[in-house]
Amino acid sequence: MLSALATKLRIRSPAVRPDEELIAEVLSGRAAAFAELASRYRGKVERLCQRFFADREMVRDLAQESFIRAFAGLSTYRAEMPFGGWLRAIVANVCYDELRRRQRRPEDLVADFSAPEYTWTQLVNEATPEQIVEAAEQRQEAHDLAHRLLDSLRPDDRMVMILKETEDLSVSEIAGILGWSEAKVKIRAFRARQLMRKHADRILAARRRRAVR
Amino acid sequence: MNCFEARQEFVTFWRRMMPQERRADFSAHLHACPHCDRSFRVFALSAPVLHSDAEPEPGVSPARMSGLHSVAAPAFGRDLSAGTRVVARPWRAMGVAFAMTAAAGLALFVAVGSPREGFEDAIAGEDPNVELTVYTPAANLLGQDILPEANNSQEPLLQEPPADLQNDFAG
Repeated sequence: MLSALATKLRIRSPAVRPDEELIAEVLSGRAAAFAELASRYRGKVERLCQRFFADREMVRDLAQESFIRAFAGLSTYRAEMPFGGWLRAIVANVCYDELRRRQRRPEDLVADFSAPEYTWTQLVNEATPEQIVEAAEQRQEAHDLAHRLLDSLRPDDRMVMILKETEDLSVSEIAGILGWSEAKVKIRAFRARQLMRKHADRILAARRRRAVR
Repeated sequence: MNCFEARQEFVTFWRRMMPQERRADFSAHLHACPHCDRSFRVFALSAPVLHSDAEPEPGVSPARMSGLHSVAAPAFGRDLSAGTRVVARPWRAMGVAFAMTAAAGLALFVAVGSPREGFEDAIAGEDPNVELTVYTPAANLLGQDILPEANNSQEPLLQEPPADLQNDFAG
């Protein structure tokens, strides 16, 4: 109901100019308008990059790269889709490029835990669900270990996992962003989910074995 | 609550968007079902990145979006083996609280201004229980316009990346 009211009213703050207006300005030669556009979306771009990479500097670099590509390709933008959706496709591909550049073999997730990560896995094994949720909000090692878990996936699998789980995109949407067939997206999604579960299970099982000793 | 229902609620529970009465059922089920309990703990290892609000820290993002920071609308992973999509509507269970949150959401919407489009989260950045998106259930968190008719099109729902990027992503 509220959403219907919002669309009908379409109340705007006079200070916020529509994306289309800013884009038209940029295309007419006023490049400074892009700065306002970038400012508007910077938080969301960086947040999406953070789903892929934990390193803050990397996130900032990738966000910058995304905006550079968006600016360079702005003439190809079509108004049929929201600018944010178009920009997101660019960000996803920038992150995908970086994942492929850094492609690593799956690491041994059981070994080489830091002490905080070790404690975190122990908590995940033993605490109540409520305690786990609360602790995860306060512990950087929870995020670090989650990133390591995602690092164990191939770039293709990781892209699909993140776009599906964090952005809640459909198979066809992901296929459109990455230029894949829907069949490939489905296969990668299933594979990613299976691998994540397998690796996470290994981590928790290893931690339980060590706790028993 | 059965096992299927419990596993569909992992993300809702993780994001603290589950009504209190349902939380009790959920916790009781996990306590009683070792399989679901195990599944939740496995889920919890990746959830901090996949299902938590990951805001940039101060200094990384010198210009933040005005007022819209958090991923607010629920996002649910899909069980491909089940072949169905379950989208929880937590506000359906809010009842009495709906009027209060709706008022707060409308006030925030007016304050922020422009209609929700594109790469923006639902305005419920301040209140995750308010759903203000104008989009269909098929729409995503970032407010993309996806109309039911578009799903029948042979064209990709999303615009292809700029032409110079095409070669990077050969399927």
